[in-house]
Amino acid sequence: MLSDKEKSPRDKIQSCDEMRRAIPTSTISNGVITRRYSLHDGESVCVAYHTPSQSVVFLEGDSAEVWWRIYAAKGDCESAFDYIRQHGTFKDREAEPRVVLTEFLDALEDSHLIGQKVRDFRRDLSVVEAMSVKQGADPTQNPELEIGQFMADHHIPYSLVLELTYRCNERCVHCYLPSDTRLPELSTSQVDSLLGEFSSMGGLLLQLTGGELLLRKDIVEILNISKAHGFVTSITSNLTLLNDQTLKAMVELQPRSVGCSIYAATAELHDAVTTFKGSFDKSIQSIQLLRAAGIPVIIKSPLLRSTAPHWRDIERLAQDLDCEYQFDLSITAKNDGGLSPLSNRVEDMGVLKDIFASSYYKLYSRDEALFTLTSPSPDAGLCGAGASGLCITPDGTVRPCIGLNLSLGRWPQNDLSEIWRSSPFFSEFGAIRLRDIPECRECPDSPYCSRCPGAWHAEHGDFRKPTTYACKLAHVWAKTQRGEHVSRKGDEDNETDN
Amino acid sequence: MKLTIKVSRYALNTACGCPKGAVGSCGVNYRAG
Repeated sequence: MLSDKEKSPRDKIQSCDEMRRAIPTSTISNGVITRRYSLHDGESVCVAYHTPSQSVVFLEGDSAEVWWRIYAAKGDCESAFDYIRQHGTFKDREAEPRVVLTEFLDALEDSHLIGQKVRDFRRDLSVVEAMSVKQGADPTQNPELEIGQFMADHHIPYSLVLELTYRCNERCVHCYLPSDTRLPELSTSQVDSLLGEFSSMGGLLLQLTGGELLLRKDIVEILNISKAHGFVTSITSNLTLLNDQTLKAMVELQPRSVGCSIYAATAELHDAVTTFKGSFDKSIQSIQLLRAAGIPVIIKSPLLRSTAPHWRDIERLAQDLDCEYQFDLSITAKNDGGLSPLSNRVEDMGVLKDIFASSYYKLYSRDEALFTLTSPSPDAGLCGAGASGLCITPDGTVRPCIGLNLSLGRWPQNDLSEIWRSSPFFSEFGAIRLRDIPECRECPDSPYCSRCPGAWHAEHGDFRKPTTYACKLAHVWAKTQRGEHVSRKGDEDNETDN
Repeated sequence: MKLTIKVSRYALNTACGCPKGAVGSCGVNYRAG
């Protein structure tokens, strides 16, 4: 006979007549992070994450209300059952609400939000499959996109990128941070207060980054603070300074992911980018420790002139390490306008075509439907900077995005909520449309454009003017995906490619 | 009453592919059209 812990919610109410009259019970899974958002019309939605299984759940209307009641009651379903009985139309007001509740609990259990099954997600093949990244750009296929759109539509500060320090032990040749990293840094207690304010405003996604955040002596405390506030936390680090204490804190935090920049599959190539001998071996060793502990790791690979020809080796390395990976070709100018990183851009057309023809660029964030994508509407917004998130620099400067170096104010001198409510940036920037950008207005390559006004702003001080390089990347990607010829110059199609 | 949920296994990549890791703040894809 199954113990109570082993029974599914359905078993629990169908095992005997007496149990059928009972209200089902549930247990909130370890690692669930959730928020409820109440709207002006009285409706509410909930977002719930279970990071160990990489599950994200979006609940609206009655589903949100019922889930929240279950969560708030720590798994007790009595209040949820009452709600269903009061708000549903039933002929049998005892049995039918139980069926509704039971089916809902089954769905929650399938989503890992409730249940007591001990799972080893490292060996869960469905998770491995998810890590191959085949989600499309269609919001109906990807709740995270739909959630992001919802937060933007309701101007909810949903995500925060917190740059904890600009200090770094690496000196990457393409780094966008200014060379002078001696910036005042928020104290531990200030970080705690800031995150508390962000949480109270509805914040859920938190990205901790640097510089190199493991250089902060209080990083373990900050990771614990992030956990205490209940954020879905992502961490970006080169991991060369990972030690037992920080590893333990990361394991307890159960982060959404740890991102680590790996520029090549060999120490020689990688260390030449970081200009830090031994960095490759240290980063790889730490990645292995994190993966062994079940923490999702994503290898972030900005592709540079020196490393891009070897992109397949990075792909293989990521697979060997059981990590996701992310390529990026859009090397940007420094935040202070310095142009030194730009010499590292990949200009070789043969290499670019090869990369854009890869499965990564076919599948990543866009599926086969890519070929049928049309240009965005001229009425589309420029980008989502500030739409549902903010960035805060080490000294408390508030920005609309990590990539857009514009100050909206300074925390703690200015309340975060006050900036969010009253900064003119949001309405002014949000009003810019693609039709306002001559280069973008009728560009056939728009669906393939990363369109980062922050990168444009960094390069020539104008976030309304695309960079030549951004246009080139979009053009080559578009041509490659459409199966059209791209010349070595990347411009006209009827040139010979010799 | 039918209670439905939308669930997915999320990818670790950011939706827009931002190398700086700005999860969800750019949203080029979902605002593209």
